This record gives sequence, structure tokens and C-alpha cells, in this order.
Amino acid sequence: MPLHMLTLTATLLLSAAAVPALALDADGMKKVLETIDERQRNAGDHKSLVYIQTKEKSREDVVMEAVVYRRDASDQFMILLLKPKAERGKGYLKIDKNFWMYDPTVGRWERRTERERIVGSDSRRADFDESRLAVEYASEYKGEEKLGKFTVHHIRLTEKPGADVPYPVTELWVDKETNNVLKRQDLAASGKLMRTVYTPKWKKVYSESKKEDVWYPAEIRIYDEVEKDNSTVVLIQEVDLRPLPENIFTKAWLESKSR
Amino acid sequence: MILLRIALRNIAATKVRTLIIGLLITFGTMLVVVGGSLLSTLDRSMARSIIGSVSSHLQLCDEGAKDALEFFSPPTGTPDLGQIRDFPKVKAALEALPEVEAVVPMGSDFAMVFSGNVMDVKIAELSAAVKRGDREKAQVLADHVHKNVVLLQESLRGLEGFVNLDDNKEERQVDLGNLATAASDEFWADFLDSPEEKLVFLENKVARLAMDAKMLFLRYLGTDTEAFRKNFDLFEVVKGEMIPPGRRGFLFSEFIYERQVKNQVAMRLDFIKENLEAGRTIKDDPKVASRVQQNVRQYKEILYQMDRQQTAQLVARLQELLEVEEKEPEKLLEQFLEMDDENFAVRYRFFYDEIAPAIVLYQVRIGDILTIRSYTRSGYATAVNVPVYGTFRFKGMEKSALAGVYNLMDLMTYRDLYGYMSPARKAEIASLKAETGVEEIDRASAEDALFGGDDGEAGGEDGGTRPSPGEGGPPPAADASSDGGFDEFAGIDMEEGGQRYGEALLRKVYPQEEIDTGVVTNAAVRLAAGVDLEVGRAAVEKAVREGGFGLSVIDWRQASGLVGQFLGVVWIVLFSAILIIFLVALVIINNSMVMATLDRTREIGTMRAIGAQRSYVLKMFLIESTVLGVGFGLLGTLLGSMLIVFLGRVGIPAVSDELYFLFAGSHLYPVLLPGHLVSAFVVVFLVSLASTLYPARLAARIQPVKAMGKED
Repeated sequence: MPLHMLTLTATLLLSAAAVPALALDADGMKKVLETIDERQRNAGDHKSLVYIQTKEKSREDVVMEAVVYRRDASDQFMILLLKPKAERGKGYLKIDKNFWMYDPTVGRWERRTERERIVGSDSRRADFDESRLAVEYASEYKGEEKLGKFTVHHIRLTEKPGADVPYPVTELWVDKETNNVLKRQDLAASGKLMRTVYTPKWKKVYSESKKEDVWYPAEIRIYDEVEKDNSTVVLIQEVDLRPLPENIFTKAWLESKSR
Repeated sequence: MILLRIALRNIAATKVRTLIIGLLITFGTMLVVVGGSLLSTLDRSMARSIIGSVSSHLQLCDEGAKDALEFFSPPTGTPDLGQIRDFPKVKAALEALPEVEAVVPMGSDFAMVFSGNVMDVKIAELSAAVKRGDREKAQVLADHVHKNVVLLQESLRGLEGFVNLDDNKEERQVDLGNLATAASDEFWADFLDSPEEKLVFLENKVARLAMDAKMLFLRYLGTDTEAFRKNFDLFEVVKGEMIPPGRRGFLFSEFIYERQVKNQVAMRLDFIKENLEAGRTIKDDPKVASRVQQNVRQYKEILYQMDRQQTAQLVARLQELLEVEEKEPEKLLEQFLEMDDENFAVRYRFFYDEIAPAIVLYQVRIGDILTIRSYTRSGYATAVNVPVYGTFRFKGMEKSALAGVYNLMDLMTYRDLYGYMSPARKAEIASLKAETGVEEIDRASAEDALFGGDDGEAGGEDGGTRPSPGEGGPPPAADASSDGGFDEFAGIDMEEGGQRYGEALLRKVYPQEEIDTGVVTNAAVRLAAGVDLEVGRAAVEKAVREGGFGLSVIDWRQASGLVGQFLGVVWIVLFSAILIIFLVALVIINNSMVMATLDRTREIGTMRAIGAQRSYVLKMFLIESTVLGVGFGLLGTLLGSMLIVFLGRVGIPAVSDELYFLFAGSHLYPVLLPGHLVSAFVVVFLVSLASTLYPARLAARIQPVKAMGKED
């Protein structure tokens, strides 16, 4: 064998040894994302009681309790703030491409964007919405890794054209055994890391409409990577999958709650 | 006397040299007198502007503040000024000093006020009229919205060609289809019979396509408004009335109100009028002409605001005024707004008589409730309602953009926007946190804490990454609440928050104690009449130190930011120029005297031989340069004084907004100060003396024998 062929072969062998074994191919990866989405999907309505606590350096903590209403089949979404009193009755309502914010103290509606920091926390609307990873993102497998004692799939997601997502690039660390997302990092288009999100606790509740368990992250810990002193904890305290009143996703309903 | 005659003879004998030295000394002295007087007057007028408007004599800030307090520097974000920790205590301690008249609490920030696009606003009004059951008003508003949808459709029609190039062209086509639906007569035919669904359609499918939201950028000063009124003597209310003591309220700066809050077309017409009155013309001044063209392009600012009936009336009146048959309101308005020097006066009057009453002339009217949306220091978007009581200005500085940069609001509203939490609210939040018991996990150890341990968070009682098999799963048939289930409103009185909460705040009259307690980022200290700034500052600094308040004390120059530094820079430039001129004069005088010494060696030698002492020769030279210095110094002082007296009579006009502020009015009237005359004289005398010392000593050392033996 000529010398250059030997060198080439050796290089190829060495390179192959350096690349970690791919645990998932494209189909496998797609299946993981679909499983993540499917396990959290509910056929009917969704209501959850959430607690949000945001810490910032030398500031008072922002603490809120709110209720999130969702009707995923028709892509309807609403947040109503319950505590503290000064924020009570404030809310967000998504209708089609419009994301409205209502402030009862001033009695007016205002258009907001998907990047809105919900009640000043580091959470975005999408954090409370249905999981649509397989639909909204193109994926790339980065390898199998360890996260603490868990073996995880590391997947890089890039937004598909036309998807309305708060961050164009997201990296996921998914528990290999349960397919629960344990860690997520959101990046700006420039590649700058914006925030790291941990979802260490997952719960499930049986859905009558789906006839199956629906999973949800009971605890979400968000660390701001731009303002390093800022962090947010979101607790999903209760989940209710019973049907909601038909006309609930309207401005009139949200307004009526604070009259 | 002989010495003087000798000096005069020498001066007259060397005319060129005398002229050069004379010019330098005259110019240098003039510069000291004129520059000194101008800058001193400017310093006084600036002090008047800054002390009388927002700074007062001294300002107190948190000594650990990250950023410096700079009232008049361009805003580059909200400065972190920290807080005055116990303002009531600081106020009591300082107001007890004989040097201090008053301490006024403050805080400043800026907010964006969005008006929403006209379509959103009109649909909201229509929605409110429908809810009230006011059919008549609803019909007028429905017509108005219909007309605006048609206008929007027409303006987007020109962009149809671009739809195919768009990445989301299908979506764009759906948008245009929705617009066509809302523009059709069928959509509106039975609108009032079943308006709800159509309103939702308009709000969500149509209004977002009209991207003409107006935004006001407001810098505001939150303060104890009553204390502010009493302690800032240039402050005066122009429109409306003063905020009543203890109440929440907002005063627009008259400058901002007229230049930003006003309808843009009207504002440009005012600008043109002002310029024509100043002697400029539309024909020759490109700045004025561009405003006319901007108005022509933005005729929609007027048309969008008029309902059908008002538009029809306007068409008739414009046809009459312009003497044309044209029926299209767009074309008539364009034609009307195309103004020239001849027709401007008539059309300006027509605008205010016929058009202004039909449109919203000011985005926010006096008496309106202004909704200020802002981000609190913790980044939470908050909105506060505050009644607008009127507008204000600082006397003599009506046209100054810098003096008009701040709007005024009460301290309670400021604190709401700041995100200040009252003790009651803090307690509420503490109990909410305690109830939930969230464990704080440091970022660095988060992964270990959450996923690392033997069982980490997994398998815990309240769920985990891998819940125990017992969780979830189909419930027993009898369990009706298998979907989970909770009542979010259990134990919560929704009426306690929201609208009622906001309305109660506007009715409340706050006692002085409540106004003084809470967030205060800085405070103005007004010194008692006649107290020197430095004396007052020393007294305040001592009291601050003794009280352990942790505050830094800065004077109005520092507090004003770039503006205050500007004067310092001008002083440095003036001093440098004077220094350079007199250095040059010194070198030239010195050189010419050395030359004169060499020229007159034989003469000096002879004088020394016939008995003149060394001191006599020394005096001879010193007197010569003193005569030069005093003579030309007097001339420079005289010319400089005459110039200042002349400028003091006619005034130096403020040709820019910045100068308007620095001059504390439209003109600066320099005053001649005796101090500058004296200093000019002293400087000239010293320079003359210094420049002659070396040549005079040289001359005094001449040996008669050597000098007389020297050949010419």
C-alpha cells in the first residue's frame, strides 16, 4: 500500500475513533421529539396553577401566582394573574398571531410579542404552551452525554421557517430512559446563549379525553445567561384537564374576572 | 522723569517692534476682559437655568451608586443611582441647618407611552360603545372603522406585488383576504345586529396589519410636586392647573406637549409659522420646505381620524377654499397641504378653524388619564394610570429643548413605575414565598443539586424525573376527578385587585409622611438666601457625614452632567488661549529688549561712564516695558470693556436650543466685572515685568570701558 494511502487510512480510523458513537439516527431523534410532544399533549383543555418567582441582584423578588388556560386543539392560550393583589386580574391572551396583555388597573389591552417576559420573569409564553418540538424545529443529534447521574441525548434544534418561537436555536438534554427533557439551553440567532432551563421534576396526570397519562414539568428553573444574577423558578402546582367553559378565551371573559 | 522720556524715546524709535508687542498685549488684555466677563455671565445664567429648574444648588445621591446623576446628559438607559435609604431622617437633619432652605425628594426615569394604532384605538372605542348599548355612537364608529379599513386596503394594495416575494406569502395572502372581507359592504351591513364575532375578527385579523402605532418617549421627574413648586422659582404652570397637594398627577413639559404630543401635521404647521415669522421662507429655506412636503405625504394623519360625516364636511369646505371640483378627500387634502409663502397664512388659519376641531389635536389631553407603561427595575412591565393636570415650563426658557426635557409626576406614581413595594405588599409576597417554600439553588451547583445526588430529585414524593409507577394511570371508575381538578378562584377575591385597586389610588390624598417614605433616588438641596455655594456644601457634607447617611453631595454643575462640564471646558480653552498669547508676548518682548540692549551698548556704556549706576540702567529698561504694558494694556481693557458694554446692551442671541438653555433665555447680556479688569491689568503688568528682567540685567552688567571701546 502506498504511503499516502496508509496515512489516509490511519487518519480515517483515528477520526472514527474520536467521534462518539451515535446513539440516535434521524428517525430515532424524530421519534424522541415526537414522544416528548405526545406525552405532554392533551386532547382536551388544560388548566394549570403556576407559581413564578424571579430573583434579580439587589432587587425585590418578583413573585406571582397565576392560572394558565390552554385549548391546544384550536391554539388558544390565556394567563390570568391571581396573586399578589396589585397584579390580580392582569392577564395575557393569545388569539391567532396576536398576543394581548390586559391590565385591569388601566382597563386597556395592548399587543405584546412572543418575547414578552411573562410578568417580568424570565419565562416566555412558550414555556407554558403545548410542546411542539417536532413541528417547530429541525433537529440535529449532538451525542449521548451524562447529566449528573442521568444518561441523556443531546439534541440541537433550529427553528423551521415560519415557526413563531421565542428563540431560534435550542439545545435539549433528554433523559434516555424516560424521554423527559431535563435541561434546555436557548440561544439567540447569533449563537449567544440566552438562558438555561432545568426541568428536574416531571409529573403525570390521567386525561379522560386522551385516555392516557399527560406529563408536565412540575418545576422549571430558569437561569438567565445574559444577566447572570437573574433566575426564575416556575412551579406548576396543579393541573386540571377537565373541559373549560366554551367562551373562555375571549377578552370579555378576562375583563369580567377583574370587575 | 528723564527715565520716562528715555523710555518714550526708545518706544517711538522702534515702531515695528512697538506695534507687534502692542497688538499682542492689547489682544491678550481684551481676551481676559471679554472672555472672563462672558464666561462669568454664562456661569451665572447657567446657574440660574440649572438651579432654578431641576437641580437646585446641591444634589444628594447614594454614595455607592453605580452611575452618576446627570440631569442633562442624553439618556443611555436608566441610570442606577441607588437609593437614599432613610429620606425622612435626611430631610429632617438637613432642613434643621441654617444654611438649608429645603430638601426636595426626586427620582427620574423614562417611559415609552404607546397610543396603539388608530385602528386598535377605534375598534376599542367601537367595542366599548357596543357594550354600553350606545347604538348611535357605535354606528358612527363602525362607519369610521370601515372607512379606515378601506384606506388601509388601498395603501396595502401598492404592496401586493411584493407578496409573492415574501417567505410567508400564503400567510400574507390570507391577511389580504381578511382585509378584503372587512372592507366589504356586506361585512358592515348588519354589523350592529351581531357585532361580537366581527369585533374579534377586526381586532385579531385586521388591526394588526395597520402598523401605525404612535409612541411617545417621556423622560420624567418624580417628586414631591408641592415642594417642587415652592422651591424651584422658574417653574410655572402654562396649561391646566397644578397637581393638587398630596394627589397623584402628571404635568407635561410644555415643550414636549407642543412638539411631541401634538398632532404631527399641526406641529409642522406651527414650525413653519414660527420660521416665516423669523423671516425665512418656504421657497428658500430647505428646512421649512421639507416640513411642507412631510405634511403632504402624511395627509392620512388627518383622514384616519375623521368619520364619514366629518370627511364629507371637510371635502365641501376644501372645495370652497381651493376653488376646485375635486371630490376625493385624499387629493383635496394633499392639495391643501401643499402650501407656499403666499397662501400659508390663510391655510394655517383654515387648519385650526376647520380641521383641528375634528381631529385629536393632542394625543393626550389635559384632564385625560395617561397610562404610562414602563419596565420596573426588575424588568416587569407595569402600567400606571395618572391624571394629566396640565403643562409647565421654566420661565424664560420656553424654547429650550434641554429645559423642557423633563415631565413632572408625583412621587407615588414614580414609585409604582420604579417597582417599589410598600411594606404591606412586601409582607404579602413574603407569605406567598413561605407558602410555596421554593428551595433556592445556586446556578453553579444547579446540575449537581438537581440531577447529581444518589437519587437527585428523581423519585421524590412529589414527583421526579422518573415518577414511581403508582402515579398517573387510569383512575378507578368511581373517581370523577381523574383529570386533576382545582378551583383557581377558591379563597381569592378578584375584586380586591384590578380596576378597583387602580381607581382607589387616583382618589387618594397622600399625607406628607407617606410621600417622604419610600424610594427616593436623589434629592435637591436648596440653600437659604445669600448662602455661598461652597459654605452651604460644606455644612451639608458635615451633616451627612455626622448622620452616617452614606450620601454624596454634588453641586449643580456636576449634577447637570454634560452641560455643566461644557462650561469647564470653555474655561480651560480660554485660559489656554490667554496663556499662549502672553507666553508669546513674553518671548517677543524679551527678545526685542535683548536686541535693544545690544543695539544700545555704547549708549549704556557712556551713561555708566558719566556716573549712571547699574540700578539706573535697570530702571530704564523696566520703565520702558512698563510703559508699553500699561499703555497697550489700558487700550485692550478699554476696547474689551467697550465690547462687553455693547454686547450687554444688544445681547448675544441664542441661535440653538442648547444656547437657549445656557443663556437662560433668548439672549445673553454680558456684564463687565471689576475683577476681570483688575486681573487683566495685573497679568499685563507681570508679563511686561517678567519679560524685561533678563535684558535689563544684561544691560546693567555692561562695563563702560568695554562698551565704549566697542566698534559700531
